[in-house]
Amino acid sequence: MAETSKLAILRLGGSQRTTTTTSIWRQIVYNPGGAIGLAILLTLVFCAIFADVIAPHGTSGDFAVSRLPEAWKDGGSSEHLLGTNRLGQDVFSRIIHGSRVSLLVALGGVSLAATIGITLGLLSGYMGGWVDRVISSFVNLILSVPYLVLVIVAATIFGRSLINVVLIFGITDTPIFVRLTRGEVLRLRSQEYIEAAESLGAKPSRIVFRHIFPNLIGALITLATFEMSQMIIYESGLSFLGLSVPPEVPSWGNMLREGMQGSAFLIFPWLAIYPALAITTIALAVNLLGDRLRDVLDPRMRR
Amino acid sequence: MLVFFMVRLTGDPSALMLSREASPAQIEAFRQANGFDRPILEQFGSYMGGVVRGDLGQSLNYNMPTMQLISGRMPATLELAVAALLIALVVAVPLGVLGGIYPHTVAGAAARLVGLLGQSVPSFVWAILFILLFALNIQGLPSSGRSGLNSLILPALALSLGGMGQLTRLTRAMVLEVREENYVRAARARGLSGRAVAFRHILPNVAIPLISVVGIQFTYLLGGSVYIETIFAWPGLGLLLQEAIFNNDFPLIQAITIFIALFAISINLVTDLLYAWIDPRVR
Repeated sequence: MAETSKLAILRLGGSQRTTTTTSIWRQIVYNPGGAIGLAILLTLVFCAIFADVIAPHGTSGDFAVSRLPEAWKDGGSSEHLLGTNRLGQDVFSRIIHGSRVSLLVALGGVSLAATIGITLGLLSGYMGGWVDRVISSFVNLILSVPYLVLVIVAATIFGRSLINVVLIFGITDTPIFVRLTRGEVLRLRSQEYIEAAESLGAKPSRIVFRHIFPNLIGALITLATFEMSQMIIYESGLSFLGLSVPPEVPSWGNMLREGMQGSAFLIFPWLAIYPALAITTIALAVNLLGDRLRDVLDPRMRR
Repeated sequence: MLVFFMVRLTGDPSALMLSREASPAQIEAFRQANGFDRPILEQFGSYMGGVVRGDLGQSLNYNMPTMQLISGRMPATLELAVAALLIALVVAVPLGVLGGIYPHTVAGAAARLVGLLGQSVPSFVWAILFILLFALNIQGLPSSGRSGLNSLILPALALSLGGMGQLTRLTRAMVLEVREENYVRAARARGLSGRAVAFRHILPNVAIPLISVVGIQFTYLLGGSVYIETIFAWPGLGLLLQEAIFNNDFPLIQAITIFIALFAISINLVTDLLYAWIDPRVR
């Protein structure tokens, strides 16, 4: 008897979960902000994966077509839609290739930060005591330095490579995830259903993973989305300062830096405008999606 | 402390600082002069001793105390950051309050738009946009250097927009939250006009948490000034940091970072104290 009712509850829980997933999906896609954000983001992912196929030109340049303006302007060539740079590299193709750096840094950095941050946050929030004190003081130490300055120093020291950039963003962004997870765990711990589970003799690991963590997922997904947009912006900013991926790698920030050198962009504005537009569009898309995700997944935090 | 060990992780800056042709003897002399040959803990000890006395070491490139360089550049950065903060506040607070009280009007939409754009468009993109739009066409708005109030307008505006977005979002969110509180509904039920409710009941309760947010924003602006100072050739701390990075001037990088971190911590401390002084619940 007990078994059957348990099964019934499980089944009920299962079917409800599928309905919520579909309804969450609907709520995101049938909203203008959510739909636009998602569409742009998927386009970016598509570009990043198939960059070699989509991009009309390779990454090597041709000095014969150095610094051509956009195709629709005087002197432009229909071969090069958004013009070419000093080395004769096609701007449009480089923007498509550049999506790889942005996406890799955003995905890699956020995954790393979330993995470390959630683990530390769960530990810190659930165990309390000296574990909490050590983790919290470390978090406060990192958060006390303006983020950009921290990243700049780290990048100066570790040198320019894609893997370093991902590591730097992943580690420096950890505290944000720790803080959110810890706060939520502390809030949930005092709730009655946790007390109930504890008094039933559930093990800490079961309480954390079965009763606390699932309630955090909404807030964490929302945070991860916003952090992705921030990382895309920070990566391009770092490239712009000449501290991210090596200069020959096409990244939007590197292109922007190249376009801004001296007062080049007053004469060849297309070299700076299109990478800037790419960065902004993606950040906007991710933020739109993030806003919608928060409204749907995390109604308490609604702003 | 963190910074010290991170900087030293790369090893000895001597090899980077001197030219390739330097003889081993020259390198050795340089190491001794700068104390890079001593054990790392000893270096750390003497460095921390210096920090306590307000001595952040000697710049390798400029060959003068880093503190002197920093204090020379600090006023420019402070001027830029304070101007940006003021611009952000003047727009964000009224817009956020209006957007929160009347969410479904033009003000509400404008608040959301400013919030979204401020969060999505990086300050260096604003800077490029402003230079292209204004500096070329409008005389009297220089796009580089620091000479009088006119040269402050474009950099401060470009720096302010990110913070403006954040502050608008937060103000709006807080107003939306306070609006639903029982005391506000009670005030409304007593028949107070919308204006009276807004000024007497909503605003004071939003103003208090806003103070701590403003403190945090200010430290963000200090960080963001690195881009803006680079683009507009604004002779502040951010530009100094960019130069130090370019020249591998490790002591200077370290000093600037420590200085900014200490500055940020003291700002947070001041806002916390201010907060406790205004809001008796925190005491």
